[in-house]
Amino acid sequence: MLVALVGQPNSGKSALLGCLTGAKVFTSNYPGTTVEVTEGRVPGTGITVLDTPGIYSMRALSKEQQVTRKVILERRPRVIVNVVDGTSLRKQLPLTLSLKSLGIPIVLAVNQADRMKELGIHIDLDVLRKETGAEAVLTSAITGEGAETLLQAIEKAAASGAGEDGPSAPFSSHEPCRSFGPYDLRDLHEAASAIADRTVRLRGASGRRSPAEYLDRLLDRPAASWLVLGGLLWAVWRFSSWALPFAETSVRMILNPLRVHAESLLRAVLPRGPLAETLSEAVPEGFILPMATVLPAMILAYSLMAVLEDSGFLGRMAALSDVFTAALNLPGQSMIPLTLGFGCRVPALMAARILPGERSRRTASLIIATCVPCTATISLSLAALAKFRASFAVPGVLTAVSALTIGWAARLIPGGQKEPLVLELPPLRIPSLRNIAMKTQARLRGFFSHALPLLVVVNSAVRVFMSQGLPAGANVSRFSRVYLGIPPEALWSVLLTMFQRYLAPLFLMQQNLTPREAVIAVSMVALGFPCLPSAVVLWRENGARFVLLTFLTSLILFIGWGMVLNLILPS
Amino acid sequence: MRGTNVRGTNVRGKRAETTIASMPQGRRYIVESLRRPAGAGPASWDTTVSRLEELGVMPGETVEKVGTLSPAGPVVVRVLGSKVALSKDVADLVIVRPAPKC
Repeated sequence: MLVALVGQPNSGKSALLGCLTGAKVFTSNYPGTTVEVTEGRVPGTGITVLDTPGIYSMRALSKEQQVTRKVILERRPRVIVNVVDGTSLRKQLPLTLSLKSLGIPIVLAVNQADRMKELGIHIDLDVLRKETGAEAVLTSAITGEGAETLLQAIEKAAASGAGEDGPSAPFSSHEPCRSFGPYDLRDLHEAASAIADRTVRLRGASGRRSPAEYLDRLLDRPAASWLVLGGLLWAVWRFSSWALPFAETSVRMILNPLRVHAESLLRAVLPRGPLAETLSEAVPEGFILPMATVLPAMILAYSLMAVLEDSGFLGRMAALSDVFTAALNLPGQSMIPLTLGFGCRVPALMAARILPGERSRRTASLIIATCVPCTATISLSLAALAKFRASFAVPGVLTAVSALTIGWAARLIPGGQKEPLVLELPPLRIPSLRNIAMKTQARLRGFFSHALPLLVVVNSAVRVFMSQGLPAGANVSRFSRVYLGIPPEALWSVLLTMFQRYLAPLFLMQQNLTPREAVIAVSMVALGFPCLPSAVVLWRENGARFVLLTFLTSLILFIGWGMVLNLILPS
Repeated sequence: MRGTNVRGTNVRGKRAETTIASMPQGRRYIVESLRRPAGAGPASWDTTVSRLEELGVMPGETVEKVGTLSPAGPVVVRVLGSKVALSKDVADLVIVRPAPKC
């Protein structure tokens, strides 16, 4: 039996899926966490649960909301579990009422019972049942309260189910419609208001503000919120410039004996020759480099990302940066995918779905794919720059300028200005350490399970190539040296960004570069091609032509900046 | 304020209206109407109105300003119990009247 969890953004659908199925799901505290449909089975029953991106109404304005609409209309779940945040019932009810017109049995999961208790909110479920005509259950995904009762209610609703005829006339799955089906929006809101008045009671509120609530109020003041944002960035920068070199030295020190052993083992096993010599050095190095350089940076970046997501500060950041993102011709919401991009670009490109218009979505995707380097690329690029004693500032400034240029160019496309910022700010919460650890660990595992073998293989291949001499035509060699001021091997490594951007600095590190060459090459890498995984996502989200446009943009950017740097940098 | 002249009256000669952008902090107001901006294309304005409606910024609902994130920046209002950030140009277009005291 197919059951869909449907509800407004940030009402706790994903958490409830995790609670019902026992699956590990990523939950965050910002509207738009879930941008695609995920599925899970409830153990011991025949129930399959679909978790859907949050929707405010069946009109489905943004792309991730259209995903939900499509799934309801095309897969026709037997029962819809409408997950409502019990702490703001009044706001959630219009969706509930408009879902009723689908003709699919509905069960109301009044979620976040734990927070309701904290805030002293009491909901009269009997009245709610009578008013909405749907079974209502109090749930809390955090404590697990109500999960059993919810499953029983689902079974009961399915048995009584009139769900056979599917959605009724007013909805078609093809286009986002402008109406609420048979209801007038104002009527819906009036009805919601009336129901909320009769069901919600406030009593026994502690009246004491929690630390999170206090911070929440504080951040409404402009000075405080700018201070917190600035302080956070400063603290992260200070901490990382102290912790990362420290972590790198320690990891190398710990792993060095292993490396020596692995090297001598490989030397003994492999048949003698120059190839064996190269491999026995390259393979252990391919393991140690990501452990020492990438792992600490990733732990730091991913846990910071998790804190931003879970605390709800990401939404605040988005609203605050509306002033900055205006320079990119993007609404403040785009700060969410842009920030995620510094972790990994694949989820960031998916998160671009939450942007309000096609135009913003495409501009943001283009900027993420070309100008936002992921943590792995940043850490390895910095390592390469440090190795050749080259300037850190040049690549950084160039990426920023390139992003601004794309935003400026996007303004020239007819179709008007950027969409204005209209964004719901989630209440701040103290993030749970367990959730942060779980997220960081899962993302690290995701990276290292495919990146580590790749790094070892590429590192060895590069070593072998370097020892044999790379095939470079005279023309390529001339172009590279005369116009870009870098050796042809460095140009090859820049082109390697097509597979994975972080492989390129690794390749550069094996070469003998002057600081000037290193600056040019790393700058070109920073603006290199979108990596293969992100190209696939770009294709799926925006089509083949857009992928072509992205590749063309990055080609123009990195060749162009390479030439400019070659002209202006003193030799 | 855009659309008003020196005497504080707008083009149709009425008194200048209070908007979410100009309303004082900490008092409850009721949304009266959404004014269509002069230069906006119909498609993008419709989308903006729909998104405002989804969050409860629609005629008849109560709004309360809780803060302004920077002089030119977004305004944060509480509506239907949640906080919503609106950029200044949108906040300028939502006309409000004081809520009756009770």
